[in-house]
Amino acid sequence: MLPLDLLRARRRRGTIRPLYASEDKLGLARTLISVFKAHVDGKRGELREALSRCEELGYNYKLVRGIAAVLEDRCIFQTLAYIDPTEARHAVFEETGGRVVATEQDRRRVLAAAAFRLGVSTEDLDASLYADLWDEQVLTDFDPPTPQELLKEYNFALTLALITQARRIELTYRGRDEELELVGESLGRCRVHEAGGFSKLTIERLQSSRAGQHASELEALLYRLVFRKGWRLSAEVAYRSRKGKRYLFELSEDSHGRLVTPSKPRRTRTPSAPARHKPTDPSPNEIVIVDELASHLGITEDEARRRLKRGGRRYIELGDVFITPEKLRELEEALTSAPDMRLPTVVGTLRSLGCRSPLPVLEALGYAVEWAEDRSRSKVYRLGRRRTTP
Amino acid sequence: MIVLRFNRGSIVARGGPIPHSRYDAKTGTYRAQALHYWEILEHLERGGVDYRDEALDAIPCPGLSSDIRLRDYQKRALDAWRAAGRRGVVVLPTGAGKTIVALKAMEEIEAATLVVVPTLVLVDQWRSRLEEAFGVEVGVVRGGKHLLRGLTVATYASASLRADRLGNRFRLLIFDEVHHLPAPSYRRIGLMYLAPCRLGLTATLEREDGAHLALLELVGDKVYEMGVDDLAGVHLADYTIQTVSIPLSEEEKAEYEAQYAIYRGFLRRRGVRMRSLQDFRRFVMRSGRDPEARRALLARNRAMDIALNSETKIDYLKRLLLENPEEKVIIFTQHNSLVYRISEEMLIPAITHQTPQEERAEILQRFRSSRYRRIITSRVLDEGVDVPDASMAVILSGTGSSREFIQRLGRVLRKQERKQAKLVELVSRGTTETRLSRRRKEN
Repeated sequence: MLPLDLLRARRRRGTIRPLYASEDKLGLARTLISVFKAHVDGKRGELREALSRCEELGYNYKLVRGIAAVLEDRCIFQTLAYIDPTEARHAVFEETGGRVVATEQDRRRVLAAAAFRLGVSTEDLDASLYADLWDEQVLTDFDPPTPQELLKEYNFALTLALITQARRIELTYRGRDEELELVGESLGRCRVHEAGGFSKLTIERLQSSRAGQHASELEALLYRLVFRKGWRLSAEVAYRSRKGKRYLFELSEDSHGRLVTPSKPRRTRTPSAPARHKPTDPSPNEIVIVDELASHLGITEDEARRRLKRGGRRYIELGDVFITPEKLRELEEALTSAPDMRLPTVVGTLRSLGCRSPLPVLEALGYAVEWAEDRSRSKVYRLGRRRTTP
Repeated sequence: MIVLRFNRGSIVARGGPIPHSRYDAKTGTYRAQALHYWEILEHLERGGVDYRDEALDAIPCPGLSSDIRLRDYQKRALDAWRAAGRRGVVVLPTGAGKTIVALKAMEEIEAATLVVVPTLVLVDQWRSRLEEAFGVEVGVVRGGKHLLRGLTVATYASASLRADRLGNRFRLLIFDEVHHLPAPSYRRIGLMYLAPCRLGLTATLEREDGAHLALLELVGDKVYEMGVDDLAGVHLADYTIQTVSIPLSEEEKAEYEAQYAIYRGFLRRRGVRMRSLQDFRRFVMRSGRDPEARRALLARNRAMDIALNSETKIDYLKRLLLENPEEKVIIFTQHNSLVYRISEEMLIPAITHQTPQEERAEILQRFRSSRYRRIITSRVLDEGVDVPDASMAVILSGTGSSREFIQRLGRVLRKQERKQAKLVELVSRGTTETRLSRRRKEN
C-alpha cells in the first residue's frame, strides 16, 4: 500500500477522487522502470539517488515517489556480505580500541589485524563492514511490469490508500461472493443485500484510532472486487478532515474501473518481500486473538475464552491467542524458513497464511520485535519457547 | 445521587450535572473528558453533593519504600509539585536526576502509577529502575505486551492506543520527556486518563511549534525549573562551549553557492519571504504542486548537505581527536550518511536507528567501560537513552533546535571529580549553518 503521505486526491463539493495516472504518464512509467532495471545488482542507496533525480523531471514528486513505491514492491533487496557485518564491526572496533584512526594507513593496519583474527581478507572485511545498512543492500531481483500495468497498479494503490480512510464502504457486484463477504466481516459491521442478481455489501468500519489499520484486508477486498462483473464501490471517506467531515468516493467498472484494474493477477509474492495480495484467503477461525474476539462480540475476555473452549474446534492456547494445531504448525514452519527476519517480511508471511493480527501472534509464538524508527526496518527475533497456557 | 462511571476515555454521570460536561439526551447522562476527573470530584465534595464514584478502578499497588535521598533542588522540585496539587511539570537538565524526583513522588503517593515514555529503550530502563528502587514487579504495556501492575511502564504510543481501556486504572501519571505529550496522537493520553496526579519531566519544555502550551491543561503548570548553568560546577560538571568556524573547500564553496543561488533566485523572483518556520512550511507545501519551487527546495537541501557534511569538518575532527586522545568523545551529526562515512573512515563505532538493539547495547557498554573512547551518532542518542558519561561532545551538524543542543550538551555534564566538560561545535563559515548555530544557542 502507498504511504498516506503519497496519496494524491482532489476534494470538491463533498466528493473526493484520487488523481489517477492516465496514459500521459506512460513516459514517466517507462523512465522509472528503466531506472529500476539499470540498478539490478546495484545498491539501494544508488537507486534512491537516481529516483530522487527523477523528481526533477517536472512531474509532481508524490506521483514519482508513488510509482517508485509500487515498483519497489516488485524488488528483492539482499544483504551481500562475506562475513556477518555485525561480527565484522565488532572485530574492527575491538581492534581499534582507544586509538585514533586518522589516516588511511592507520585504517588499513587496523582492518588487516582484525581480518587476520577473523580469517578473511582485508578487502572482504572492509566490504562487509556496513553491508547490512538499508542503503547498502543490493537489488538482486526485479520483476518489471509493462508501463501500462505499472500505471494500473499505481492507480490501484492510490485507491487502496484512500479507502483505508473510509468509515463506510458499499460494494455492489453481480452474483454472490462469500469470500468477499468474509473479508468484509473482518473489517467491521457487515451486511449483504441481494436484489436483481446483484449483491450489495455494506461495511460499517469500526471507529479506531488507527484509521489506516486493516490495510491488507482492504487490499484483499478491493483486489477481489475489481475482478467481479458489474462492480461498483462507494465509500464515505474522512481524509484530512479535522472535524470528521466525510467525502463521498465512488468508483465503478464503467467509470474509472479500467484505470485501476490490474490486467492480470499478480504473481505470487517472493518470500522476502512483504505480501501485497493475499495468496490465500483469510481463515479467521484458525487464529483467534482473545481480546479482538471479545471486543467484536462485546463480551469479556474470560467469556471469549470460555466460548472458544466450549466450541467444537480444537485449539492450542498460547496466552491471548488461540490457534488450531494445523495452523500453528504451518506458521512455525513458515517462520523458520523465512528468508530474512525483517518485520515486513515476517508480517507478510503471516498475513499470507491468513493471520490478520501478526504482532500478538508473533509474541505468542515466542518472537519479539525490535522496532526501528522506520517501521519497515524493524527486525523480528526468536526469544525462546512459545507461550503455551497449560 | 450522582453516580460517576468511566466509559472509553470519558466520565459519565448519571443522576445530575457535573462540571465540564455535556448532556447526552440519548442516554440521559452527562459526559465529561476524563482529564477533568479531579476537578469534578473537588466540585462535588465542595458542594456537599451526594455522589458515588465508580469511575476510578485503580490497580492495587504494593507498599513502596526506598532509600532514595533527594538533593536540595530535587526536594524543592517535589515540594513545588506537591504545592501545585500534585500536578505539573518539572524541568531539570539531563543528568540532574529527574527520575529520582519521579521515584520519590511515586513513593509518596503509593498508588497505581503509569510511567509513560517515548521509546522502548526507556521502557526497559524505567522498568529496571523501578524494580531496583522498590523491589516490586513492574508491568509493561508496549507493542504486543500487556502486563498491568501497580507500577506500569508504557510507551506513549501504547498508552495512547489503549487510553479507552486503561484510562481509569491509575491514580498517578508520570510523563518522561513530557514535551512529546502535546503531539496530536499522544495528546489523548492527557485527555482520556482519569489520573488526578500528574508529573511531567523534561530537560527542555519549549517546542518550536508552541504546542507545549497545551501541557498546562494536560499535566499542569511548570512548577519547577533549573537550567544547566544553575547546576554546573555543583551538581553537574563545569563546561565550556567552543564554536569553531570552518571554511568550506574551494569546490564545496562553489557548489554550495551555485545551489543556494537557485533557491535564492526562486525566492526573489516569486517575492517569497522566509521570516518564520510557518513561511518555510508554506514553501515546502508549495513545492508539492509547483515544479520550480520543488527544484528550489532540492537545491536548498543540497546546499545544506554541503554545509553540514563538509570535508573540512572531517579533517578538523581528525585533528581534534588526535589532540585529545584521552577524552571520551560523543560525536553528533544531523545525517546518518555522515555517521557511517566517519565510522567507516575512522573506525569509530556508530549508533543510529538502524543499529540492532544488541549491538547498540554492546557499544554503549564498551563506551561506559572505556574500552571504546569514541562513538558517533546522529539523533537517536539525543534523548531517551541512558548514555554513559563522556567528557567531550563534538557537534558536527545539527538543527536550529535549542532542545537538541541542550540535550547534546547534557550528555557530557554528569558530575565527576575535576571534570571539565567540553562541547565543540563545528560550523561551516559563510553558510546558513552559522544561523542555525546561533538559533540553537539562543535559549
